[in-house]
Amino acid sequence: MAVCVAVIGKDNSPLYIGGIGNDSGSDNELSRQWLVHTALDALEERLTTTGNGAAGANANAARTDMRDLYLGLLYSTDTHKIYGYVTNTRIKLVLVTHSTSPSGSNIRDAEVRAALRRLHALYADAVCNPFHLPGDPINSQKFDKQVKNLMLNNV
Amino acid sequence: MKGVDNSPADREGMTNKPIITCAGDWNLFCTLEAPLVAAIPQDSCEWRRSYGRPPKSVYLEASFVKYNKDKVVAEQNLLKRPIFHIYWTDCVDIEYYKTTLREDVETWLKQLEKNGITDWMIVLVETYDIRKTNKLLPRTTVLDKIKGDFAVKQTEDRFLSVINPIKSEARSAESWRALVAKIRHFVLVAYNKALIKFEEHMREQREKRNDPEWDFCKYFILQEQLAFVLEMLGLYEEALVQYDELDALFSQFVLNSNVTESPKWLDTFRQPVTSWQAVRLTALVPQSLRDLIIKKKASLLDFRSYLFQRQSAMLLLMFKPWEIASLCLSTVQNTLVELSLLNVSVVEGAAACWAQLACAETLRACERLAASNNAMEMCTATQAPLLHNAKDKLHELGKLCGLLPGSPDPTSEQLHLVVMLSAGMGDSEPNNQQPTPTDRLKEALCSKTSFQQYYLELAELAMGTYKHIGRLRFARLIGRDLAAFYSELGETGKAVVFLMDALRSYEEQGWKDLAAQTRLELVAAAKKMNDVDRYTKLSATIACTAELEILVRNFYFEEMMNSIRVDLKDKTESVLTELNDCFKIISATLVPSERGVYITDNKIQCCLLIESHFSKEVNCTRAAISIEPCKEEKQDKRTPVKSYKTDLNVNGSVSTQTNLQRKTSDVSTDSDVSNLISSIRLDDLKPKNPLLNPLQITSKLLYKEDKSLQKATIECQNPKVTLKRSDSSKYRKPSATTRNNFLTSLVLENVVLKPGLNELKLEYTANQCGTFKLGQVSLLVEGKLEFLSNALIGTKVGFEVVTQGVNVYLNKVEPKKDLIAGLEHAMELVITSGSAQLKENTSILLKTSAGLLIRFAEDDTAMTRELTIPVPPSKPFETTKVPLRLFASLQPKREKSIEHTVWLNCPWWDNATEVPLHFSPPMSLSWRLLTSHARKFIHATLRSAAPHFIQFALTEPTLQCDGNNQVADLNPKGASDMMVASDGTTASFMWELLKDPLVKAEPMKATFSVQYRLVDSEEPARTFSCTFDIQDYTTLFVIRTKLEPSKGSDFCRASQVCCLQLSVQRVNETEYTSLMYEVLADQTMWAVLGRTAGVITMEPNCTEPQNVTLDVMPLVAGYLPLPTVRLSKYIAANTKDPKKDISAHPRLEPFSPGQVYHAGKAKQVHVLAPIPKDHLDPTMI
Repeated sequence: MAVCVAVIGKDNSPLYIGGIGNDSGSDNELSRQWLVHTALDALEERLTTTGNGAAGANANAARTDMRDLYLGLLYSTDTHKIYGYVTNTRIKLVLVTHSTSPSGSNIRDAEVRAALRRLHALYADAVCNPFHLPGDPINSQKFDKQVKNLMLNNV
Repeated sequence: MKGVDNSPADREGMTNKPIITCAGDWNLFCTLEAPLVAAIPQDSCEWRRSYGRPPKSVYLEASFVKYNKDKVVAEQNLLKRPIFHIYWTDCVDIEYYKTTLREDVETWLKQLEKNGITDWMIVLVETYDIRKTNKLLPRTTVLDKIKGDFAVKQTEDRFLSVINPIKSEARSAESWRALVAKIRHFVLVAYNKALIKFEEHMREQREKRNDPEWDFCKYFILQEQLAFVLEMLGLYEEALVQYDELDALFSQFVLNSNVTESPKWLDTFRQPVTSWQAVRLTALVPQSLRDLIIKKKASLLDFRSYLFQRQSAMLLLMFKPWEIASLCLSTVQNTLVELSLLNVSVVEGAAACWAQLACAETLRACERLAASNNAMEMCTATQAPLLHNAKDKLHELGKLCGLLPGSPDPTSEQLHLVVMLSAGMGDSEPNNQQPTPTDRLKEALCSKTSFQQYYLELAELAMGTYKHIGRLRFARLIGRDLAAFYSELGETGKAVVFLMDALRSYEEQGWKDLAAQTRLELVAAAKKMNDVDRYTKLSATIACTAELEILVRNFYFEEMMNSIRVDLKDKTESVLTELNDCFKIISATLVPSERGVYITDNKIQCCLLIESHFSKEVNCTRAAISIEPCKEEKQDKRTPVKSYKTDLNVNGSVSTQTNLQRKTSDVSTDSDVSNLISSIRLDDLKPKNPLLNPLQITSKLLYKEDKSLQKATIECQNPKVTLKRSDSSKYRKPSATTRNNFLTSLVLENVVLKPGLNELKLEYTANQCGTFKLGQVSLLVEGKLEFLSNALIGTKVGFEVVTQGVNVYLNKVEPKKDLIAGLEHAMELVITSGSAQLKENTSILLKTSAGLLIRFAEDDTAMTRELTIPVPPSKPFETTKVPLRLFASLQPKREKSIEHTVWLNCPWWDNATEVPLHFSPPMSLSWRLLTSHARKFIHATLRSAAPHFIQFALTEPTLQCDGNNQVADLNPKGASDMMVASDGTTASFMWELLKDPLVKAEPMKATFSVQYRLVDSEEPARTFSCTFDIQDYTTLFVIRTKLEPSKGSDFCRASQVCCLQLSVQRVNETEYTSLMYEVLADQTMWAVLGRTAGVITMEPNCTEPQNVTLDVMPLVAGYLPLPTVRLSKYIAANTKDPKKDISAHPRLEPFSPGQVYHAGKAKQVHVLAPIPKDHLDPTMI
């Protein structure tokens, strides 16, 4: 269901972007990158509004619990929905799904939350590699495989 | 909000009021209706609800109808059925009650009861009678009677009496208030019951939703009733919940229809869409749409429009326009999905039309509401996505209808489509001054220009709004769309601005794919604009972008080469671009100079390691690194004309340079040079990744009291360090490519840069000295495209160039010995040309200080104090030596060292250079005056003072005295082998002073001279002479001492008193008559008994000796030297001589050594050991 998953570093540069699905038309990897990139705006907005505790336009979407790393739906387009998650070290995880699943069932928030949590765990595993330099893009094939798997199965 | 109040009465929804029926005296009620209708909404009433729902404060309204027993039947329609029933009466007569009223009330109640209605009230309207007040209250009132007849426990409070406010307003207020409050209360109670019942029914209905016969439209209308009621009660939030539930239910059905068998009713929404009118965001119920739903003729768009309008109506009533905006967006997006899920046949573009209109309408509504509610800020945040969406939809429409710039004129099909779409939009609402979104969209679809205008307006507004709310990335995304649009319009310049902005941000944040994509767009724009420079630059960058396909890269590589060859051919100046895009500087290392330092006119080499990202080889016409002088205040001092290099390996060196200047130069360069490094790797420049620092974590074990481990923890000592955020927008702005001054630069020409690592050796011939650092790296490719780095490596890498200009040294020749005056020394003038070339006919003028002479070593010219030395022409780094001979003449003064100076006047130096020279004298003379009674001898001793071993052969010693004094030479004649050497060998000479005793001895000058030459040299002998003064050399007194045994003894024995005979005799005339003698006896040998000193006076004319006898006792036996006697001039106190001291004390003044002759000085006396026996043998030796 998820078509794209991105790990974005503290400085908002992409550490990992992985996508699956057809590479045709508007659904190619590049267009997903635009989605992920713009999602950062919404994500940062979310972080600052929750940080200030200001209930603004996103009052209903505001995180009730500051400790909840899952940020929920960041924004949606006609075709995609973009969810966000931020770790305590400000590593941003972004998950892009189709607006509807091919099976028709609506994407449940809980599923996305679970997927992002799992992605967080995968990321943590990946950066635990002593040869990985924090802040560098993740090139681990294993991570890539696991993330692709996650995208296919879980959501 | 408009239209809320003046809505037509026949509409359902907002216009509804709770219906209250009135039975009994209708006429009576009619008088009360107006105040009652007015009074009910005046105050709120707390609505306590069952099922633990929170109580709400509710403002009620009411409409009253006459009771009609046929209409009492409890309809399921919540709105149309009466909710509360009141029986009005003003009966005060109990009798009348009993006869008539009672029956009427009973029938009314029975009817209600039959219909299961428990929400009623009986009101007795009393007329307040002043006269009555004084009377006793009647025992039972009519109300009591009614209560008695009908009331049960639960209904007791449903009976109320009220004083007619029409007749006596003042008195009625309280009872009236009570009535109104009761009515409010009971109405709410009634509603509570009704709603509970209704909700139950509704739930039942909903449970049947999987029934094939179940109809969503019916259910929708049913549940909407609840929403209406809640809305009526002012509970908009809960009304919204109803709509949201319906929304969710519908969405779920649609989604499920894809998987499971779709219910029959859903086909209603599959009907072709024929109308895509704009939603109207008012609080009104869009009745026409509702009717369509009821008639099951609503299309999906109709239904969605209706639902959205109702939802936003609730939000409008709650004054939450910003939520309308987000709702609009999700509705639009959902609807589009649903359209496709349900396979609704719809005219292409209709959905986009609808969506665009929905967004535009929402924006309009939000603006309207926000302007009046100061909610602008809240709205803006949500407006941006709406604008974005509206813009996107408009673009979609434009594409469909062939309105985009750059597209061919619309085909007839497209024109037809426009007509279709416009028709489907319907008419806009009348009585509007401003064009509605519908009008605008229609207009936009009519022509390209109006489309453009509308599109640009929306896009700019969306971008501006995004920027305003801080969503810069969204703004840039729109910027890209705009760029594409402008590019199609032909205004590529505008497009480039947007693209550049986007590109910069992508690059800054490391979104390489996006940056690469943007570059591709930019390069296309550049091509369009015929901006050759930019096109070439971008082609180069794209050719180096690793993220892109190799085919694309190769294509642009060829494009780059092509445009360099063709388009830039005629350009004189090169095109500047960023180096980092295409190359990576790995390291820059200065090759150390062979001479240790970099010397002017010498090559400086720098090894530059560069990684080329090009996929193919490129020809680098010129690689260069600019060289910048280090700017410091001391610069003037550090660019000296001459260098201060010294020949340091000479011990006790003779340096040609002024020491003072050298020191300053050393200091100034030291501080600077220490900052410079000769090699740098670019990776070293990166700040250290703070994440790589070890965490300050310590482990800690906590023990319980019984020493068992409670827990083990790790603690981070300084969490601030590790948790420090550093991503707060410190993006470097890429510095603009400014070209440094490459006039002085390390250069390498014509080198082929292979893909990957390249090692370049750049060279520079330094022509200026000073401290320099490396600045910018420039790679000129194909002679036209110049890649410039930002001055990354310039901060630290540098070198110091010194001029080894012409250096002139005055050196001693081997073996290097100290200079000795009075000898000729071989020296040489060394001229090292350094990096300079010495021209012909240059000469150095040497000047010496007085007493120092100089000549060329080769020819035997006379020695001079000035010597002009011609310097032969020489190439750089050649050394010319001119042998010289130096001679420092001996000074008559007897100094330990002789200082001389040589001034070197060179044509290339402004000032003469001082060379201090240090000479030591060859030998030194010491002399003594020796006396034998009245005869005088002069003893002269020569010793060598040279610090190194040197031997002189001495001949012809002479001593000459002035005046009449003669000397007799006592030295051996013809002694040619007299030698003086610095190993301590001395030479002594002796002369007797022949003096006429009759002549008064005046002080005299004596001059000693001797011929000397170095033992092994063939040089002619030179004269060493020395003068000295001799004074007071005449012997005035002779002292004799004699020791005699005491009387009766023959020998001197230890411990026996002896007699010391002291005689002082004047031998020459003298003015000193008063003398003091002192016996200075060695106290270990002699003990002087009595006085040891005394004053004697010599008669001026008497030459007889004066005798003094002293008693002394030898203390030890043996040959004892006689005690010495010192004779001094005794100057008594109050002497007449005024020149002398006028002190009251007498003084002593010593005689010169030659004036007193001590005849018994070397005498010894034999003292025998003491013998106790009586005979003594005095023995004199």
